[in-house]
Amino acid sequence: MSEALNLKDRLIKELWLPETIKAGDIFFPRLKKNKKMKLLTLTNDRNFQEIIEFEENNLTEKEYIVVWTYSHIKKLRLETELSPARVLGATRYENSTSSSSFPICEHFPFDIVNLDFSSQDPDLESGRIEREIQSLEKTVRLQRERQRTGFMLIYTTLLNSNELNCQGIAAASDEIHVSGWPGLGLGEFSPRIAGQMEKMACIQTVLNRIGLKYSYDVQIEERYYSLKESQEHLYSIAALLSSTR
Amino acid sequence: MSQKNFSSLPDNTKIMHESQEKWRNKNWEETLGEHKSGIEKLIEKINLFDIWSNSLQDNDAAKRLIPEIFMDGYISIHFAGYGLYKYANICLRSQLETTLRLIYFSTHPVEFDWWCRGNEWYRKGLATKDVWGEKYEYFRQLEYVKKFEKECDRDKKLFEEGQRVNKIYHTLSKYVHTSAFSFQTKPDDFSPKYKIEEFVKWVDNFKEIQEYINILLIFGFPKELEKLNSTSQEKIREIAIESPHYKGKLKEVLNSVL
Repeated sequence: MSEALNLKDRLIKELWLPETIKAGDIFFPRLKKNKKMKLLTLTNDRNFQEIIEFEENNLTEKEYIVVWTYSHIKKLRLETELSPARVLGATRYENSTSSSSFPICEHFPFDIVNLDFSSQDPDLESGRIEREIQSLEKTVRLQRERQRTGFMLIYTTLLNSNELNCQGIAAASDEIHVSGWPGLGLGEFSPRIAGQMEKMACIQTVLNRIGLKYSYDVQIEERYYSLKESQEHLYSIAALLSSTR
Repeated sequence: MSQKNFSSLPDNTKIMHESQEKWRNKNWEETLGEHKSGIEKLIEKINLFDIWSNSLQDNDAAKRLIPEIFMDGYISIHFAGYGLYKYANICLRSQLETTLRLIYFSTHPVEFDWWCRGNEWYRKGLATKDVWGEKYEYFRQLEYVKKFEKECDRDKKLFEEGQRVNKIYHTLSKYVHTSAFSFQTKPDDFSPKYKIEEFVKWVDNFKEIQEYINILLIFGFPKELEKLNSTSQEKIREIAIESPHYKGKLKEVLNSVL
């Protein structure tokens, strides 16, 4: 995990920061001094560099930041470090979006949504990425309900040897009905994907289609790093979602 | 407050601030110097509440009480690290009581709502001071607690003959009600200090409490336990439960649950 946390600095520099600066210029062209973009970030107490970078680049300020972490002890640390940012959680984000009282609801919408699941010491059991994607869709839906223009969505995950259940992802998404939406499809992929390249192509397609489902135009940039310490790969997508309504 | 502002503190506050800063740092360093790996293991135990809070997200009582249960454990370690053993033990009693409330309130949402609003009128009519009845009767009626009690040796039973929960509760109550042996101060020893024998006594209490709390949560929420992935289930059993006796009996009973 420490290797993934170290790679986060590269991700920020090469992907998250430049893409978020672009998003800031598109959505808030007139705000020159500070964009004051509202940020939701899944982060880790040992490396919350994205917050520092976004602040230093005048994209946001602490009072516009909501942090999510999965552990009580990390929540305590992050609250100490990042006050007055709001620190929520002590549960796994991907499980919490399906809870009847998702505690972050009242804080929506956000201008930057950074769903970095790799920062949450993920349980690497099968079905993890499928749950992450379900929570990602619920997040996009909440954004759509409360926000009209668009936002920056960053999704980061660890790919390992577990197969990706492509059909399961489509079925779970199609349970959320949107008028006029034909369904996620994904027939072009194997029902269960083992190869890393196909997994990434599938995730990218899913993200694109979830955007379309909720009437967003999606522009994607991505990065992929192999971890030397394990057989895992760090995969990150930065998607600029602009409303088509 | 900056260092500059500390110099302008009023006299008594300044004495307190300066001495506290010294004994706090000294005791914390000595404790970590001797017991850093031991403390790491205790923190691993309270980190198990992350698993419980994750699996009980739709339970209103859990949402309110698990952060408090975690914090009691965390602050207990914090106090012990500073040599404040009396207060470290008091936190443990509070942690146990809050866990018992969590299990009881999870199936008593109306009473939980009253309790949250500070309205406990119904307790006036009760024969005992606790809503769960005399000798923890409510918990003794829980199906899997009954099975577990039946499996355990007499002196290891939590509520029946062994009365382990009651015994540890009474041990910790002595710190709350200040029996002579549980004083923070001693006649020739006034300021808080790292003391190995007090620390070890507290560690034993801490481990025992985390063990009982997790056993009670397992049997209070068997369906939620069943839904946990195998890694989380194993973590709870391996990290929280140290006693070989409880480990074995728990396995036997859980085989019928999982």
